[in-house]
Amino acid sequence: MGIGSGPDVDESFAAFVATRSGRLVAHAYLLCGDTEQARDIVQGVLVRAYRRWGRIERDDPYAYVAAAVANAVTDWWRIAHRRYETPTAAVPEKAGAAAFGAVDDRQALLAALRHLTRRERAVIVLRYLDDRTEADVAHMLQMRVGTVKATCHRALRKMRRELQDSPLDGLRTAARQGSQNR
Amino acid sequence: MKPEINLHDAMDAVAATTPPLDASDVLARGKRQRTRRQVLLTACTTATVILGLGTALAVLSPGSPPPRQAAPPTADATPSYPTTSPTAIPTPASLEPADRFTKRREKPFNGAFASDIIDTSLPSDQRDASLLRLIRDPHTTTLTEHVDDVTPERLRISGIQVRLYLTGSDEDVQQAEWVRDRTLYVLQWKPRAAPYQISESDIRWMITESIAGRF
Repeated sequence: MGIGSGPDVDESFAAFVATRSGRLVAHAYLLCGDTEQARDIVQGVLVRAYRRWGRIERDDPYAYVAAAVANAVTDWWRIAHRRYETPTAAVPEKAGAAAFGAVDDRQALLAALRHLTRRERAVIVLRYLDDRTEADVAHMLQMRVGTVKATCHRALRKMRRELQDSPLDGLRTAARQGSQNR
Repeated sequence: MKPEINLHDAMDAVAATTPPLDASDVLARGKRQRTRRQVLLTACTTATVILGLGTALAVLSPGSPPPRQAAPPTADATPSYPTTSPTAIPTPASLEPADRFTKRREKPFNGAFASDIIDTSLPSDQRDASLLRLIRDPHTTTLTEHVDDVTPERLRISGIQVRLYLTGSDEDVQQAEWVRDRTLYVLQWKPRAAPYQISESDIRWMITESIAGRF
C-alpha cells in the first residue's frame, strides 16, 4: 500500500475536502473569477494531491493546496487563454444577498481584482482571504517579503483607484483600511 | 447607505457562501487516478524489464551475431510510408525547422499577445486545428515556482533558464516557459502522431530563435 492510501488517510482527506474545499474554491474564484472553473481547478488539484496526502497532511495541507490552486489557475489561464475574460457581468447565483450584503458588493470586489496582475491578486487573496502573514505569502509564492509588501501596497492602491467610481463606498474605504492595517 | 465592509469581510463572505466540493466524489476520483497511474507505472516497468532482458539475452546468446549499429525500433522511428523510393516525399522530421515552422503575426491575446506557429508540413486543412503557439506576456517578469505535483524539466538554452512542462493541469498541452527582457514567453503545443510529431530539437530551435529575436 503506497503513500496516500489507507483508511486513515482517506478519512483525513475526505474531512479536509468537506471542511476546506469551499474556502479553496472561493480562493480560486477570487483568482480566476469563474465559479465553475474554480470548482474544476480545486477538484483537479485535490485529486492529484490525494495520492500524496499521507505526506501533505503532515505539514500544512491548506497552504500546500492553496499554493497548488494558485499555480493551477495560472496554468488554466495559459492553457484556456481566458485571461481577463472573467464574467463580472454575470454574477454567480450563489452570491446570496443576505449572506453578503448585496450582489453588487461581490461584483465590485471582482471588478477591482480583475485589474490586478495574477501575482497581485494572489497576494491580496492570500493576505485577506487566508490571513496569511507576509512571510507566509513570500514563502508560498516564492517571493521576498519586501516584494510581497510592495506588491500588496501596489495592489491596494490599484483597487482603490478602480473603486473610485464605484457606488460602494464601503469597499473603497475597506481597501484604504486594509492598506493601513498592513 | 451600505454598512462599511473591509476586504477581509468581503472575501470571507465569498468563502462563506461558496459550497464545498462533494468529499466522496473527490475521494473516488483521487482513487481512480491513483489506480490508473499505478497501472501505467507497472506497464512501463514491465516493458522496460522485458526490453532489457531481451537485449541481454540477445547479447549473451552463443553464436548470435554481434550487436549491430542498425537502429533498433524507437519512438522516433522513421514514418511508415516509403522513404526508400527515389521519389519519396520529404518527411516532416527531415525538414529543417526553419523550413517547417513559420510564425504568424502576433495578436492581442486576453491581456497578453500570442502568435500561432504554422507547421507547413501539415496538410493545409489541419494547420489551423493544430495547437502550436508562442505567448508573450509582458505583465509577468519572473517564472513562478510551481508546487503542484508537476515537476518541470529545467533546460538552459542560450543562457536562459527554460522550464518544460510535459504534463500539466491540462495533460494534452505541453509547454515551455522562459523569461527574457522582463517578459514571460510560453510556447505551447500538443503532441502529434507520427510523422508530424514535434521533436525536442524542434522545440529547442523555436526557443533558441525566439530568444535570439529571430522567430
